[in-house]
Amino acid sequence: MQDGQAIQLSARECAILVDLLEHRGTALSRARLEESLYGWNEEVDSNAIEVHIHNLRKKLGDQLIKTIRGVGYLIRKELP
Amino acid sequence: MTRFSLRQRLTLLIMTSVLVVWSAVAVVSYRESREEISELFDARLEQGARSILLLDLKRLQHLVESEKSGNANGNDGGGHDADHDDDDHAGKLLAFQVWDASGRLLLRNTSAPAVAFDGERGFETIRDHDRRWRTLALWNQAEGFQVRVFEDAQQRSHLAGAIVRRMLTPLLLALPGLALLIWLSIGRGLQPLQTLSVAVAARSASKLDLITLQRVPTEVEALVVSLNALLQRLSHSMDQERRFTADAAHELRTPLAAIKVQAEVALAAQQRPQRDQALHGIIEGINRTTRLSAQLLMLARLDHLTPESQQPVDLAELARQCAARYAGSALDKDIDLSVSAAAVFLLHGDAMLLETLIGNLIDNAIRYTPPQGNIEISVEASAGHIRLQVKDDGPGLSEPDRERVLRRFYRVEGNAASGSGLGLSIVERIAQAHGATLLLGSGLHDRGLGVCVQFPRTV
Repeated sequence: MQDGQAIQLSARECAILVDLLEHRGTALSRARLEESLYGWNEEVDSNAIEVHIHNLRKKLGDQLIKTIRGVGYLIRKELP
Repeated sequence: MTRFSLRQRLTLLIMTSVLVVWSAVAVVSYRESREEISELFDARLEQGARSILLLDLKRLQHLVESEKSGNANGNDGGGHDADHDDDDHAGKLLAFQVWDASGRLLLRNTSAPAVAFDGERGFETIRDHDRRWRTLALWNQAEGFQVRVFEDAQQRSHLAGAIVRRMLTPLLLALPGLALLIWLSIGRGLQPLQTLSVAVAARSASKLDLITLQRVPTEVEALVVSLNALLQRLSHSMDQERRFTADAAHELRTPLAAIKVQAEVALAAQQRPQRDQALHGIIEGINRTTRLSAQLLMLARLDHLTPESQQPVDLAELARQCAARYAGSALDKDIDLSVSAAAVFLLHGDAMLLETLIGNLIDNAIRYTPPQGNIEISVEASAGHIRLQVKDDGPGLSEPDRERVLRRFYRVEGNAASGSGLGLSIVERIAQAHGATLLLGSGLHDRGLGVCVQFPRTV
């Protein structure tokens, strides 16, 4: 919801968002997100997570999900 | 531990050596004496033979006759009494045979053995039944007969044996005396060990002063030196323990006093918001005390660390995990936190302790870096080393402070950030436990603080 508007998220974007929200304040690495999203056996495109995050930022604004260089992504504990 | 007495052992060893040497000396002396005696006796034998040669046959005949009658009940052997003296033989006639040129026995006195004619001239040792004889045969060219004289060969061995026995008897009799002297001397020689053990026994946890002996033998000196080194280490760690306990008690008193004040405020508070604020203050104080005591425990445990729980650990992965945990609090302060670790950097270590080390460094950096600051964590390798660096662009530390912050409970004066002053002490101890060195330098863009932990490559 943004300004009372409903936002359409794909199932995987939604899963990533929930994962990040559940671990607010802690950064989740790309590998960690891939694992929880696809499981061990699936072939995953190397920048699949980046694409999802990019889409999420487009839909939710780029202040919500932060990138920690060399570590991963996180949503801060206290939402702005 | 098998126990044995040094004194007994040394005495035994020395006495055995003495006996071995004496036995060798006895054997050599026996051989030497026999040789000397042999030469002497041969000379005497030859002299005897020559004096017999001077006589003619008739006189010799007469000599044999008179010996037979004079010695009718005397001993017929000769030389069985080597143990007595050789003046025994002086009055007795030499055993001899007289042969003519064709090998016919002309004469033989009673003591001479009945051995066959032998044309040889010169010295010879022969065996007749169970007796050994030393003989010499000489020709009387003028009269045409041969005189062969005999002497009991056993005499010589007996005499040599007697000489050696006489030489050894007093030595053997002195043996117990010698053993006693050696026993006493060793006891005296080992006295410094006794003194040392008394000195060591006098040490205790509260009295660990160095051992000073007036006269230290070189053999014991090394022991005294290492004992003193041990005492020094012990007293150092006792001091450390004492100081730690005192410091810890002091450090805990401050937050506890603050909690007490907040509790009193809460009790006295009339309005709810005021009371809630005080209660929050109490919770915060308790959190701080909890963290402080956890750190104290960690430090105490580190002081007695034995690196046994070590296994290969990827330092880069650890750094990422720690950074992920602290990313939230960095963001809350608008601090840009980043990790650069391009590969896997394996080292042998205790994962939990290393995590504490990295965590403390990041925690410190976040604490002391002002908002909108930057913190960069990097792991890289050089020849023989793996380097973990945590750099910030905060206020940094002055040169003297860089040394002081490693001391326990030291906090830079006028610092607003909360902290126990134990973080870097813990980092240093963990680094030491992994053989790593901790270096404090400047941080990002020549500002702030840069902490570098340099591990030796162990995997």
